[in-house]
Amino acid sequence: MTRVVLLHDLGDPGGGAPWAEAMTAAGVVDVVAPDLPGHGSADPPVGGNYVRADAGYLLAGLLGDGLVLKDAVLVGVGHSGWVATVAAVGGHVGGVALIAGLGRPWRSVDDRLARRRRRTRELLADDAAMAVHEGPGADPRLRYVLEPHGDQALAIEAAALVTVPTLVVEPDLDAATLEVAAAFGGPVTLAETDTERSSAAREVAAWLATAPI
Amino acid sequence: MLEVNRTELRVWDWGPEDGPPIVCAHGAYDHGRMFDEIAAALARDGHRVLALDLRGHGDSGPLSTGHTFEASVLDVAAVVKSLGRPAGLLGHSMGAGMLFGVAATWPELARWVVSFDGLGPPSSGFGEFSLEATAAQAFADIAKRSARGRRVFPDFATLAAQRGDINTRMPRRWVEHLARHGSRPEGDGVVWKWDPLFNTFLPDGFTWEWVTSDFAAVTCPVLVVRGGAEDMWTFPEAEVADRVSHLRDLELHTIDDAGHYLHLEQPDQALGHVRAFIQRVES
Repeated sequence: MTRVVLLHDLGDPGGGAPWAEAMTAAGVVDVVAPDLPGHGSADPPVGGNYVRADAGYLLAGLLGDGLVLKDAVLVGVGHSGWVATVAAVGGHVGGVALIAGLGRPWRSVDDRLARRRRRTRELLADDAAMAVHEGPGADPRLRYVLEPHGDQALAIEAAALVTVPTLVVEPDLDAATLEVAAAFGGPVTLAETDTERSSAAREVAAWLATAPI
Repeated sequence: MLEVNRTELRVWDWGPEDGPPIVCAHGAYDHGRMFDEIAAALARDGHRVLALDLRGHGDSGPLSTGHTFEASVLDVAAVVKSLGRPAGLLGHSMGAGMLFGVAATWPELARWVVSFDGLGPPSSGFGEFSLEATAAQAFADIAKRSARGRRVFPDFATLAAQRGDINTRMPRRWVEHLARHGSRPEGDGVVWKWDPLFNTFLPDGFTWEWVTSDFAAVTCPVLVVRGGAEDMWTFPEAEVADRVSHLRDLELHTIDDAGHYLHLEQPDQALGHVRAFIQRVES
């Protein structure tokens, strides 16, 4: 039975548990779905700042603690799709599944930076999101998590370096996204479906049944 | 210490409280005390000068991940906002890059920007970047550095010598000054204050286009002072011209007999350019 390690999306306050439940319901037996800092039941990030790299540092800690992914599938959702891709490029995983995790919507550098500036302006103006969050409830700062990386050229460069079996689940396989998917260096399976947990989990389960992990 | 943006920042403060504010940001692995001389001089001119230890540096709060550029940009903006009036922004290297980000994002917070050798890494640095090699090493590096903590030097002289070996052009007194205020005792030895996680990163597609995109969004007057001597951040002239072409209100000077730390190597020349610039844009 292939182990699945799932990195949920940055800004998804529920964390890993709802994903683990969805995966189990879909028939995936061995699932590890840790909470990113400030999500689910995890402590907030040191310094209170949320970045895409949080999932990477969490994964690095798990690998440092002895987690072995060479025979496992790493699932990256949303922002964490980039971290899962980097792990696959680095040769750390047996397979990778990206749920809305390619990095889209694709935008120019100027557009990405302009949107980041706008989002950061809004954050500075929100006193509750700037202050330390004592709870209860979701951290209001999670509303200001930046968009996925949005860099199609980067996605293509990285995809070409991924040689392990890959599942791509996207809500819209438009031409630009198909171009990225076509760049993967190993066997790739595409699924165009909504990326709700239950739908995505079913796609992962179906793929695991046949993928040469 | 100032509590801002969910962390604590050490702020070094010079000059009259009601003076026109200037906020200074240092480069990677440094701290606010690198501005001791230039800040004191500008304070004598009547400015209130605030030099920050950026998060993960000096006495300020720690990091959760590696280079948190956006968080530091937000930190600086929050500090300026807390002053209740726009500030002049003066930065070195990475700190200057962050200040361009502040000015690009909050034009109402920035009166002007001074950049000491802060045009971003040269494009040759990006060309050497290998996504495959970095991806293979990054997770292990992060895990190792997180577990190992800070490197402990046996004594202050050894720690300072490491810095002197890296920044070979830096005057000896500044090597010792930066080392003295950038280190602290730990166990039987001495450690750098900067957070070991700052020395780690995951590839994220950062390119020089990110730098120039911020430059193009800056509307306030900008002074760029470069070191013209061969050093760690020496740029081809054509590349400098391309980078600064994105700045719409620019004054550019090169100090030929200085390197990356031009304000420490040639403080009188650097200060002279800053004073003349401030006088011009604020008159």
